[in-house]
Amino acid sequence: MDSTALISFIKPVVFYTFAATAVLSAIMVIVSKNPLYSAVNLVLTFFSIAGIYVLMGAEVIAVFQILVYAGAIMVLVIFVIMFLNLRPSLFKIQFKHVFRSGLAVVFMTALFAIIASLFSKGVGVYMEHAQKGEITQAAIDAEGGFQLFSRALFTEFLLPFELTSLLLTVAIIGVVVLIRGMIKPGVSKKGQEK
Amino acid sequence: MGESMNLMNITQTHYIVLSVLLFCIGAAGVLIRRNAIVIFLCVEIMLNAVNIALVAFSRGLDQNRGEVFVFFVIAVAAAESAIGLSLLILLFRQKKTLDVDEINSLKGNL
Amino acid sequence: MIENVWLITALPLAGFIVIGLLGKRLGEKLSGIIASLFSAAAFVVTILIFMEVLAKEESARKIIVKFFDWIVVGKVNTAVAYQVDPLSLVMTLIVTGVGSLIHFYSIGYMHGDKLSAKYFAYLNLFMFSMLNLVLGSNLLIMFLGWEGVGLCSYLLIGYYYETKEAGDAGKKAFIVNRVGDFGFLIGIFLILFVFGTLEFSELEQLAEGHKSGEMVIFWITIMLFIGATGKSAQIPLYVWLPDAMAGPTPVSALIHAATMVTSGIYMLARLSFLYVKSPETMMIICIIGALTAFFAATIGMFQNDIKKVLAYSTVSQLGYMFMGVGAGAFSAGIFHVMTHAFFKALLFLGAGSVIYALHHEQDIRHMGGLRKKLPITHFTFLIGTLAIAGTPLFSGFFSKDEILWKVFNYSPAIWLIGATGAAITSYYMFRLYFVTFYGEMRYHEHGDHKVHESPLIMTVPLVILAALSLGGGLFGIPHILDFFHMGNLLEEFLHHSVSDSSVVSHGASTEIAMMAMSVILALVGFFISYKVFFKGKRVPGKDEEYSGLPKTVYNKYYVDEFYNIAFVKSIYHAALILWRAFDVFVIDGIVNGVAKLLRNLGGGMRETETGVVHDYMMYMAGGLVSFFVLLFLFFL
Repeated sequence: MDSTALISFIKPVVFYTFAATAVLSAIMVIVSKNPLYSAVNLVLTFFSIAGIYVLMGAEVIAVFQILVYAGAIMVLVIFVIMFLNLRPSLFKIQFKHVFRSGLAVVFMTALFAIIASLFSKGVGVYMEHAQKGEITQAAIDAEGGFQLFSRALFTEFLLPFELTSLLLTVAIIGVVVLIRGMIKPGVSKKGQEK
Repeated sequence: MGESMNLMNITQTHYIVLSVLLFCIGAAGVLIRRNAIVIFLCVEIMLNAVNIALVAFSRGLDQNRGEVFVFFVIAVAAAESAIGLSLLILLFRQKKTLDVDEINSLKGNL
Repeated sequence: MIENVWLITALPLAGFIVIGLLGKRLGEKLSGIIASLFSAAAFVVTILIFMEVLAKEESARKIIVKFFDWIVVGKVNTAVAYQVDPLSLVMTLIVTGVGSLIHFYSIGYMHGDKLSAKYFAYLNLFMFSMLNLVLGSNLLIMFLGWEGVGLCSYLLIGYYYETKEAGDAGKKAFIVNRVGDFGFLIGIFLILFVFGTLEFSELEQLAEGHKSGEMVIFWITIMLFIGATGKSAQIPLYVWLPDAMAGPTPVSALIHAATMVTSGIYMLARLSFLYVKSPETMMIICIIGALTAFFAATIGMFQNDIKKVLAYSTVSQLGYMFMGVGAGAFSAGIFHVMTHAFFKALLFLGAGSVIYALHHEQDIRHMGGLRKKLPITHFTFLIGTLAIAGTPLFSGFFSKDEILWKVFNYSPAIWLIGATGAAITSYYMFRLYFVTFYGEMRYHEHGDHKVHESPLIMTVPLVILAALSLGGGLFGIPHILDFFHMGNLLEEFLHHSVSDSSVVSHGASTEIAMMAMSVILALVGFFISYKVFFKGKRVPGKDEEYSGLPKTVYNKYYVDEFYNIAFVKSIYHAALILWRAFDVFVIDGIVNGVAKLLRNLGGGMRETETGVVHDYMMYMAGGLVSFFVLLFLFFL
């Protein structure tokens, strides 16, 4: 069989599989009573999205997605859930909550319908007439996605890169400051390292 | 849907629609759930949806700008989650609950 | 000096301001002296202007002194200006002359009253208003003065405001006057509408173009006359004057005898050129004047308060003035204004002297035997009584007789009413005189409050006024008695300022006969009074002893009570209903309703601030969706 024909056959299948998984698990995030279940479903969502990224040809981002999001953030979240010992939701369901939920669903459905219909018309047209850059698929195949990405990161986008590292440092300091109150007095100075 | 739209031929439009769908789902989740952590998770869904859109355009225009931007979005999301979660912990300690409806200190003179 | 005519009104105004501001510091005596001097100064200025005008020839005697334009709207140009002519001069002389005398008199009378600085301030303000009234060259200035004297009347009648009687009397005066003023205003509006100007000189010329008996002239004159009935206490608006006796006696003398009440007559004389064009109105005026004269006289027959007798007498005499004016004899009416000013002021001041001596006793049943104790007062009072009764050679004789003669020529029927009234006048005035000054002294002197004559500052004005009451007749000697060929001075003087539509259709012999008739009538009244009260030494009985017709008359025919039920109570209840139904229910309802509405709205909006973040997010989501829906519709 011809490779392009194979690709043109497999691509939609793969796409729809990943897309469906992403959407379904996103819905499960919302619907699950147990916060732990929600967290795990979110991980699945992230993985699906990573697959989409690969399909689009952006492996770099796919890797970062899995490394950072699924690997770090979700771990942190699950830690917190367990730390707080959260049980499945025992919140009282009142009418106003049901009403609000229904209203939210209505709003969001409407929003989706509107935006999707608006964009779907324009995106194709835009893509045809917009000016393309140089990083074509061929270039990626030639040099490698990470090389191109890193080159851009350390030349054109050096400033944001450095600022981001600063931001992360600030975040760490912030967390430490916030948590200090939780440390019981009497612990030795070594405890501050926590 | 535009004439160039063919369900089998995956174009940028598909990715955009997916992005919008996920965004709306995430937004609905934010509005529906009362558990603070779950709300946070839904916000992450929204962020990811936006990332998809960014990458789609970036690849579609054969640039790496969008991808670099997504890199930064992920980094910031990480920082934000760290601080957000520690705030959540502190909140839980104070209010003993994570039901956002109970946390109504902003309440006016009802 | 004529250009400085403004001095005449400025001086009393200055007095008012000075005393009004510094009265407390100046004290009673000084305030009185300042007030009196300013008044007297105004009199001197008037004399000077008078002499200047006399020096001019007849046709040049109307001078208008304009100060500045006031209301200029479209074609109507009303200025602040004074008209110096014989009519206004006569009035001004009376007001400033008699007014000054009363000012001086008051210094003595108000002695001991701790608020008398206020009194003198009001007196000066009154002079200012009254002088504006008579000097104004247009209806607007006159109306200002008209209202001003009404105000001062209220202030001065209600001077002893701490007593309910005085307060009520002041209010009554002002309100009843107001009813009349309403008519006056309508009249002014009509004049403005028809003639387009309010200046007397212009009106006089414009009136030439109207025929006699025109509807619109009739209405104008009637409306203005209604105003006159209010101010000059004729039927039906006279009821305030007797009550006004609650004020200090010099006030009664000045305002309710000599000056303010004569404003109505002056106004009619001023607009005489208009009135002669409406014979119907003149007839009405004459009849009302006659009825009032008679009616008030009958009430005066039975009154026991010395001031009330004089009050009804004033109403009655005013009726005579209106009778004269109604018959077309405007200058005769003014003549009587003048003589009446003299003898009525004299009578009131004399009564004041008696009251002062008896420490504010006013009931004649508690008087008597004062002839020897108060010689000057007694003598001057006698002169006043003789004058008002129409004794020949006294001023009242000439003026009243001229009126009666002109009225006889106009309508014998009306004359009869007037003549009968004259007889009654003589009767009740002598009744008053005898009961007060003769017989045994019914007043009980206690302690060191002995009865003695009043101080000089009070008796000198009495003497001056007595002389005027005696000699005032010289100004209007009728032709048939003109032995010294003086001519009717007043009538000639006023010749060009007032119109005259009186007719004389009977001969000189009839005139003499009528004159004799008046004298006889006066004598009849005198004799009855003499028999009953002097020879018979009768003293009017106590209140409970009256019954039947005398009781009705004594109680003023219950007119006040009737007015109270018919007008006062009905308006009061209507107002009460309006208040409850409309003001409270509708207006307050609307106002409170709006407040309630806003409160509920606010309350409703308040509910959105739940403090629950989710709710806020919903609002945001809703806004966002709406925005996109609109966008979508826009692209559609």
